[in-house]
Amino acid sequence: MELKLAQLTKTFGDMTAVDAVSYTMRNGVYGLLGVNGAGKTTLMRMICTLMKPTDGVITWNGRDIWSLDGEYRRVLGYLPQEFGFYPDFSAEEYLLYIASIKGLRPAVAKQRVNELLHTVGMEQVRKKKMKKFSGGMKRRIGIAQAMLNDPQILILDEPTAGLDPNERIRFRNLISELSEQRLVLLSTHIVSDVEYIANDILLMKEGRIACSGAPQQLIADMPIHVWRCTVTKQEEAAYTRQYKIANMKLTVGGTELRILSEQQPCAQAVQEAATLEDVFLYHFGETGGENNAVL
Amino acid sequence: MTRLEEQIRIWREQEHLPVVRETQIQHTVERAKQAFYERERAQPCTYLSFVLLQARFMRKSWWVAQLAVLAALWFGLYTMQDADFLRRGSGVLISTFVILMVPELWKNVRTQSTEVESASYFTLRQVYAARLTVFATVDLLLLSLFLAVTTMTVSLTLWDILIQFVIPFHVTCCICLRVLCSRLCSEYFAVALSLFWSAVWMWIVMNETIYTMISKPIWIALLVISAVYLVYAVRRVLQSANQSWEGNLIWN
Repeated sequence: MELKLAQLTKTFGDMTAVDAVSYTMRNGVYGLLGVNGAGKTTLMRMICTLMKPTDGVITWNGRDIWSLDGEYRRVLGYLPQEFGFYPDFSAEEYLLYIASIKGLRPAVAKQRVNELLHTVGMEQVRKKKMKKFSGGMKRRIGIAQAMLNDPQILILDEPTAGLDPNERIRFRNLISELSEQRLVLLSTHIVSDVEYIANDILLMKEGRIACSGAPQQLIADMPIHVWRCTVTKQEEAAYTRQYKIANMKLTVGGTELRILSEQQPCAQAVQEAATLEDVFLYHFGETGGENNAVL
Repeated sequence: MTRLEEQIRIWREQEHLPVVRETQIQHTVERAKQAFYERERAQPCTYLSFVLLQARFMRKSWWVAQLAVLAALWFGLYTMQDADFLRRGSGVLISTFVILMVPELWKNVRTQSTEVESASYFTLRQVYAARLTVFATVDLLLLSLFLAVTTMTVSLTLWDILIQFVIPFHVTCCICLRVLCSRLCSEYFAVALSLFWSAVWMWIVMNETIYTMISKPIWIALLVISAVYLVYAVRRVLQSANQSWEGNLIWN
């Protein structure tokens, strides 16, 4: 099982959304991290055959996915960022409908719907109309629809968007549970979503893969260090201008800063272990994802 | 063990029949089920089964509403046989009949379900083709029933049917389908445009001067042009269905 992206490029007029991306994925969870506008959704849409690349190819086990056509989509599960559903359908009806367009035969569809409603913990509300569901419940139905055909490739575009912390943790565990024996590509701009479940992280910036590797590897490869120090209120502004600040916390003695820097920023600064969040900050800066908090 | 079961056991022993254990039967049943599901999983659904399945997921209330429109039209024509204005104005109700398809055809666009549908085994093009086939089949049945009843009970010529029913039907279908595959793709716009067309049609057929000015060859030409354009509109919907994401500028 191998999904290979070779020199994948997508342009919209004079705007390049995905720029010559090459990467090979096998079984496991891949976290696609990047700020809004990095090209994650376009990349995923190309992998899902929704968009044709301007240049480059995507192959599945050595064969072009566009020539495989329906055969490829039979092994594909996709949860888009804006997950659309029919509000007047019950959860069961909706899943049966999606099963029909996934080409599942009615007997199999019924069996899979029962299994997945159980897996996502929605058995009790199977007859309830989807419009009455909370955001988290809708997302769970979203993942169930993506899993209906027991896909070998599972593409999840911002699956935790709009979920509260509890739902996000539950969703993360569910993805981890479902990731066995398949390739899962999960895009997000929230570091904690992928930090613990992804085998490999791809950091996407301006349409390119800025760097990739196992979380620990990315942390180890970061060429700068993380420091913690407490400064006075007056000094705070100067530090903020001069360094990348990962965190600020008001304490009794002043402001405690978590600084990303090659050199020790001040004499009392102590070095701390870096996290994936620091790697994200190093690559994207504090303005990364502007309106979206990096948790 | 009940008395009957005991008797069966004794009889089996006397006849030297093999003992069949309940657990083994259950095991065989499970294995058979498993084999059945494995085989069913290995093969995708045929397109014909897919089309029939789509009918199950379409809201039947729209067909009931379409039937009600035709019933109202028949009732009007039947009770006011001599009213020429009603015969000529029936095109408006025929447009309404077509407009009732709009919510069902637009439901995946309205609910933003096209992204999931486009990444499925059956493409969006096949989904639309299936829906149009189901609608066309049901509408053909409804209209056949309506025309059969109307021709039997109301003095209506084939010419009347072609001019008053078929032309407005074709044009409204063309409007709805062309809007569906346009960039705007709004169901409200499709309905508004269809209503505007109904008003224009009403004005033409109710205006005696204009109506009598239109000669037979012009009506025939209109009929042929609208039929040809309808075929083109269906083709355009199917062609554009798979390209709906190409022009999408939400690219993050």
